[in-house]
Amino acid sequence: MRKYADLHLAPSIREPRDTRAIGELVSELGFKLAAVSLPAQTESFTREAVGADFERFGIDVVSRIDLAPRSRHELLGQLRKCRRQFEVVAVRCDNQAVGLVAARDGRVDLIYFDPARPNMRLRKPLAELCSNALEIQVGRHATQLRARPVLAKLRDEVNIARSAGLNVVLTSGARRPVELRGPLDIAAVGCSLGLTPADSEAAVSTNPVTIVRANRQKLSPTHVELGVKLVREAT
Amino acid sequence: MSRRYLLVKVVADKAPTKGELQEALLSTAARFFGEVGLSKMNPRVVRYDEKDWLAVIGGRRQALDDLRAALALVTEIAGQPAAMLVLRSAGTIRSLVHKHRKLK
Repeated sequence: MRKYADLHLAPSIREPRDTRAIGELVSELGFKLAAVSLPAQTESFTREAVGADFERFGIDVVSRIDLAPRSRHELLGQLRKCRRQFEVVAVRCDNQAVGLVAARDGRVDLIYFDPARPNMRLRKPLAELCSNALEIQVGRHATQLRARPVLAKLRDEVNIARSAGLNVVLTSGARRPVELRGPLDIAAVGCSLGLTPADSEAAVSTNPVTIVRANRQKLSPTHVELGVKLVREAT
Repeated sequence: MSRRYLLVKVVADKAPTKGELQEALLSTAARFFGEVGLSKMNPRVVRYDEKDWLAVIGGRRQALDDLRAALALVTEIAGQPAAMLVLRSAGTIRSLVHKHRKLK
């Protein structure tokens, strides 16, 4: 049985009722893993409380940070501070310089573009350099997805990602319960955007799960570097 | 033409009527897939329980993915922010209800 994951949930910490409702719905929809994105300055006890709201419904919770830097220097500074504190790091690329650094940096897991900005999109040269996955938020942008220019832009991005061999991760990006979507519904939208049914399903299951597994290994105390792990300490 | 049925949970601030559900689904599907796409999936709200906010929606098996995509793109019902979340799918209404009861 496939393990479905939603790598982007952004409940408001000011609305605990919504957070609980999202947790319950996520479990009801069949997700087993969810990444919760909270602002970087959120207190640790608030973070734990939000996590507990999901865990009581049997969801494996992952911490995520969303970075939206204005320059490459700002991005590099934020990455230095955040990488070891969060299991998933996503970067919104608002300009080419940020996109270029985010695409090549191994500390970044996901890159995404604002669908409302037609000029900022995944282009072929960037996709060929990219070592991360492209994220498309289906639930949050469902209204915009019905508009032809946004749809055309996302179809182009998916097409470029596929030809460059880039992984695509489909998420809901839900801030409120009405922005949530089920895994197979998200995958169905992926098919409409030009992904094959198999790639679409991988975008809500194996692709996000692989990212989380690799990052958890990197963050574990036994990790030394890529491919090197501490098995036991010398006595 | 064989049909497939989806059990859908409605999320909204105010409980919509069956007619409002049908209208939201048809308008979204027509906007996204056009009239030809809509005729291929032939969606219909078969049952709607206003107490539990659960609906059974039927559509052609061959266009099930399109129907799911259309449901995912519903963002408002009768002018209110809303979502239609698919909980289960089955080949008959009876097995859909049975599956849901078993899991409850």
